[in-house]
Amino acid sequence: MICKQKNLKFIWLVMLLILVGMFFVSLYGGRYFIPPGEVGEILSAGLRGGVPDSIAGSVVWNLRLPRALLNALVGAGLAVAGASFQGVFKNPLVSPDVLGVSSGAAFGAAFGILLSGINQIATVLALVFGILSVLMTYTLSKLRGESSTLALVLSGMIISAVFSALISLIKYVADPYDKLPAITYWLMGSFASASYSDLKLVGVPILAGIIGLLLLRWRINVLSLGDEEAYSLGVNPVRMRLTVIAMATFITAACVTVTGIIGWVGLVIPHICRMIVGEDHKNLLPASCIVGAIFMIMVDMIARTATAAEIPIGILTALVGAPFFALLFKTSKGDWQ
Amino acid sequence: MMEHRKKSRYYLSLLLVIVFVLSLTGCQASGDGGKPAGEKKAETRIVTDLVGNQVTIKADVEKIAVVPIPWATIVYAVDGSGKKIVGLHPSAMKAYQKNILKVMAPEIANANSTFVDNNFNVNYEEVAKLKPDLVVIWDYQPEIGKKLSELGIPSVAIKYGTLEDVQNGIKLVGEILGQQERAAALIKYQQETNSYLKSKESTLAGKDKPKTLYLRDEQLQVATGQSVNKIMIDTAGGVNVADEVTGDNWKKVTMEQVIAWNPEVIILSNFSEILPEDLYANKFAGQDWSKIEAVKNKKVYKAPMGIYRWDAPCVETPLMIKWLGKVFHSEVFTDYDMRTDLKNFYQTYFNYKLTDPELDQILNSKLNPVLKI
Repeated sequence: MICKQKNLKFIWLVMLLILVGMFFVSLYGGRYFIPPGEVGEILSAGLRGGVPDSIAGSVVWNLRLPRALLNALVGAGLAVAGASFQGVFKNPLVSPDVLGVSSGAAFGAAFGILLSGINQIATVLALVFGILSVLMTYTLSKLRGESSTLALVLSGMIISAVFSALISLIKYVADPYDKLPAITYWLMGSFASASYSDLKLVGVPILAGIIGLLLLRWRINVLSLGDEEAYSLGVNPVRMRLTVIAMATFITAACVTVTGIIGWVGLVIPHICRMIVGEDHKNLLPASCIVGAIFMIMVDMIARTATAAEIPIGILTALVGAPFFALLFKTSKGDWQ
Repeated sequence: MMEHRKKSRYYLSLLLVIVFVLSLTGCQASGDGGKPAGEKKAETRIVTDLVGNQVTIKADVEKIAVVPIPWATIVYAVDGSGKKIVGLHPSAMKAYQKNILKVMAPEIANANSTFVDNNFNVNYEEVAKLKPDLVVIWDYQPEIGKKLSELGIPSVAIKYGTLEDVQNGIKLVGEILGQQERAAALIKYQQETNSYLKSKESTLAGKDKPKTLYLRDEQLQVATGQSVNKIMIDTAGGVNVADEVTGDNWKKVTMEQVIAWNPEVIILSNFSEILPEDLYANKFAGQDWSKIEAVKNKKVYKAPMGIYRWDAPCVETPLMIKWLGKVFHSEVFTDYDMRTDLKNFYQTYFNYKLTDPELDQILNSKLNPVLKI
């Protein structure tokens, strides 16, 4: 823990300021140059309900704004889901895809694209299979007659492996000229299709999940103490664990549905936040939200502006996330118990 | 006990010797490479493929399996018939099912399209079953060529890319099929087109070159500065807005980048079902086409598709360039009659008389109502 309790207020303020700043920076930057002053005018005009009918207006209001909002939403969602998973499983190496959510949702989307191209069907299938895969994981772990964390994680690996194989199968049979590029791009993750209709579709589920987890953050603290402690404090650990898992899963599935697979955020961001605000989930979860959002806006900005061709964001989050994780791993050994 | 062990050791060594001898003869059988067993020397000849390999092939090649997608139609064009095509890529088969070639060459429907998969991996046992006299492969697949030659099946490599690569490939296919004259005629047609376009160069020099986006699909994959489509656009008197994008063929870009380019003309490929209407109606989530010049002025066109997609290098590429010329500068290409030329081309090279509805189907006339071609 870097800071003392009294500095915490200052830390929150700084993080929020960075988030707001990053959000606006992302509205100002892009391949199509718009003078900063004009961006401000468009935003204020848009807030008053009248977006100027110009190219710049369309770029800021229809391309950059929904994209930045979706960045923040997905970044916050994936990070808070990751932090919750890590708390519930008492394991810092756990991330939202551990229960098979990502592979399940990815399979659903790939299947949808194979059937009818990128459209609502793919989105719905992604959500359905994301949730289905967690149900399968849960059922499988129950077959052993116990609900231990280890059984859940192992079942998650099995279900993930099955869906990964099915994704490979779909890629194998997909038309290389027609469907395969769409599936491949989607599996690498992208905010390219971000729109207000996306926001409408997943905004409510992701926000509801985030709020739910934030409300439960004290209980996650209790869970991380162990089952016996939890019972003695009047919390049913099994039921509570399932509630948290369900919420985190729902968030992850909703994110994967609109952006494809974006790895590493749910794993790395909670660790960064632990360095800043400490282990206490009371602080860790809100901090993960903010830092996750900042990280995603920042990385997506690189993805869409670095070159004329768009870089898939899943590649960038892994390339930025993995070395950072390695650095943390080296400098903070022993702190993760 | 001892005796027994000795005996078993004796049998074991005998077995090893037999296995060894058998494997030696096995090696020999597969060792004589490109010549299928029982083939007399007099009936073979040697051709040089596009990567410089000397390949021994049968004197008269009757069965060809084609791995590269557009090349099945090139074999068809050079031979004037599809009856020698025993295998083609599944995606080529899909294109075939959808276009006019199905009417012109019904025999291709019987060809195998499972010997190669979508990732260009060859199933060697399927190939062996087809017993082709020759397999056409990409220049970057030497391992497949080597494996095939171990099976006694010769293979020739061709290249994707420039129009020169296509012409060299046509020449090679002509040599293989003993159709040198037809191949030469096809190449001559390409060269005539070149000189016709050259003759327009000075007139075009004074004209504004329309900024053109060649859009592959709704994923925003566009033709790069190193694509064959860039060459087509340049030759026809346009300019490719995506020249700054590097890499082969197609790359994905952002909508904002497209808006920054603000193309005046957009050509939609046949690799996807994308239609001009989709852009006019601004149908795709996360994309805003409403402010793009080409969309505002209704200058979004679907590329034609003849015996193959005109978006890729193929025998009809000269026609594609002239079509683009009509799209960009109809006032310069007034002396060019696309419909007559297309009819003559199909008559001369495919021995097929196109009807007017078929012409409109090839030119996608319904999707391009403003084009008076």
